[in-house]
Parts: sequence; C-alpha cells; structure tokens
Amino acid sequence: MTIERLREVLDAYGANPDRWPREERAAAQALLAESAEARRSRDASLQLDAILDLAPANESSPALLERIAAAAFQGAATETPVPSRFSRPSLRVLPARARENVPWHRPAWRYVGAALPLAAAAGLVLWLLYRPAPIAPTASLAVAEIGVYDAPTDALLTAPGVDDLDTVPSFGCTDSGLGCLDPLPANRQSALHWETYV
Amino acid sequence: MLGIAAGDREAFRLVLERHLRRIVAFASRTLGDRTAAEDVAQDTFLRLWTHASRWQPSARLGTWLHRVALNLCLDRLRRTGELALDDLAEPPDPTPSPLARLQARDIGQHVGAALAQLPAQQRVAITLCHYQELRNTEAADVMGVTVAALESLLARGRRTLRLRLRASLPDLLEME
Repeated sequence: MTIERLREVLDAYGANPDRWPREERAAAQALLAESAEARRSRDASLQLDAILDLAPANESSPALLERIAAAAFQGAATETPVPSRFSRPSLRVLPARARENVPWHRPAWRYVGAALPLAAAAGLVLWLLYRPAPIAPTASLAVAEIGVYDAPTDALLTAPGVDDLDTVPSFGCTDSGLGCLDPLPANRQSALHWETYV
Repeated sequence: MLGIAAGDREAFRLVLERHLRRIVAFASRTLGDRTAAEDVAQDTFLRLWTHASRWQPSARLGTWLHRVALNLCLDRLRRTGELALDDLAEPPDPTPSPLARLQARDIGQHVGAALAQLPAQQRVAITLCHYQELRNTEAADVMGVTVAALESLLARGRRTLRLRLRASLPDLLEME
C-alpha cells in the first residue's frame, strides 16, 4: 500500500475502514499507523464524511408499508404463481378474491384435508351397518354330501379287471360242503397270479 | 424468498419491515423527491412479490432490491431528462443563490441539495456506498459497472461535494 493508493481509497470511500475494499483494509490501516501524512489525508476525508452524515434521510410514510402490502395481496397477488404441478384454466380475468372461490384454483391440500375426515366417517358408518349372512351348520351339509356320493372307496382301491372271488386265497379251507371253493389246479393258480398282478 | 414465491404474506411483510426504509432512503437520495421515492419503493416490492419465483439464491436480497430500485429511478430520471446529461462533463460549481441560502435551514439541507446536484451516477455511487453501506463489489454489481469505475464515480462525486459544500459551509470544511 502506497500513500498514493491510500489517497485514492480515501477519496473514493471516505475515512471509515468498513467502507474500504476488504483486501486492502489491513495494509491501509498499517500505513495509517506509521505515516503522519496518511493520517492527515484520512482526517480530511473524515470531515467530509461527517458532513455527509448530516444529510437528512427521508423516512417513508407510516402508511406506505400497509399500502404496498395491500396492493400486493389484492392486485399484484394475481401474478403469484399457484404452487401446484397441475395446470389449471387461467382465472386472471377475475379479481383475486373471486378466484379463491373457484374450486380448481384452491390449493390441493385443501381437498386432501377435506377428504380424509369424510373417508373416515364413511368407513365407520359401513362398519356399524354391516351384518354378515348366517352360516349353515357344517354337520348337516356333510351328511347331505355323503348321501349323494356314488363312488365307494372300495371301488377305487380295487384293481380293474380283477375277479375278487378268484383272487381270494382260500387257505385252510378245501371243503366245498362248508362253502369253500374248490382248489384250483396248481398251473391255474400260477396263471391267475400273473393275470392279476402283471 | 421461497416463502414469498409460494405466496406467503407474512414472509413478504417481514421483508417489507426489514428493507422498506432503506429502499425509500436510497430512492429518495437518488431522485431527490420523497413522493417519487415512495412510488419507486412500492414498485420495487411489488416486483419482488410477483417475480419472487425468479429469485437466484446467489444474489443477496438487499443487493437485488437496490438494483431494481435503481433501474426504476433511472427510468424516472430518463423521463425527466436528467440522465441524458449525466457525466458528460463536470458541471460548474454552482454558488448557492441568496434564495437558496435563505431556504436552507440547516447543514443537512445544504448537504442534501449538494447531493441532488451531482450527476446521477455519482449520486447513486455515493448513496450506495456511503448511505446504504453496501460493499464496493455489491455497489458495482447494482450499478452494473466495474469496481474501478465505481471508485472513479465515488472520487469525482466526493470531490465535487467538497467543493460545493466548502462554498456554502466554509467553516465546516477546511482546505486540504
């Protein structure tokens, strides 16, 4: 930082270091600390700063804030984008207050907020009114089903084409007088065995 | 800003309460007319309300408001013809007329009058840096000039002010 550059800074920004360029502030203050000539230049700038500070600041009128807010919310609010992903018919021809009464112009959360309680109430009413149909006794149905069933289990277990009488072994009973069948010849029994199981 | 973009009225009121006075003061010093300054401030904040969705997070709100207000002020100055003569040459140092001396009731009015007589760009530069206390980079950004150009405007404006105020207030400003 040279004395010439310090004067340029003082001429432009005045004597308050807060207004100086941030990157030059430390070097300028160091120069001021060691140079009486730099301090004289600084004091001259300080005089002008003090006089500039006397310039009156025009205060805004108290009603201005309310006037701006009213203009924004009533008029300029029509330009505010609707926070929704869905496009809706433009209603800008209507006043803002009238548009708020148009259903599709309302925010989606209003519909969600209204639909949830309605859905809960409908569910409660349905639960209270619901009466399940009486269930018939299980036992009587089972008996009725047995009565119409025409495929005895024994028939399913019997191999097709098998003569039960011929295949029943007659061990220990050879007396036809007692109702026992006559024993077959040995060659016939063997043939019957293969006819039955092969 | 996100709240304002979503239509949050309380957020907008908060910004008004924080920035309205500064913007009115800036426009008032730039235009030298309080009524016109309030109109500029109103237009500035209405633009904020309607265009908040275009907000760039990289920009500071105060800088953005000053830039919009400055553009509105420059539009008015162009309409009145003041800007057309801006910075073409240093105007001669006007000696306050006897009538002006009578009308000036205090030092502040002298200073205000001297500021109002500055070319618009110099007046805007001094207002942004001295009264609005923007950093030099912010002020340059608002004005759309380089920092070097801003320094030049500031130095020329302060030099002119010193000369004029020394003429009207000789006891307060010593000769360098």
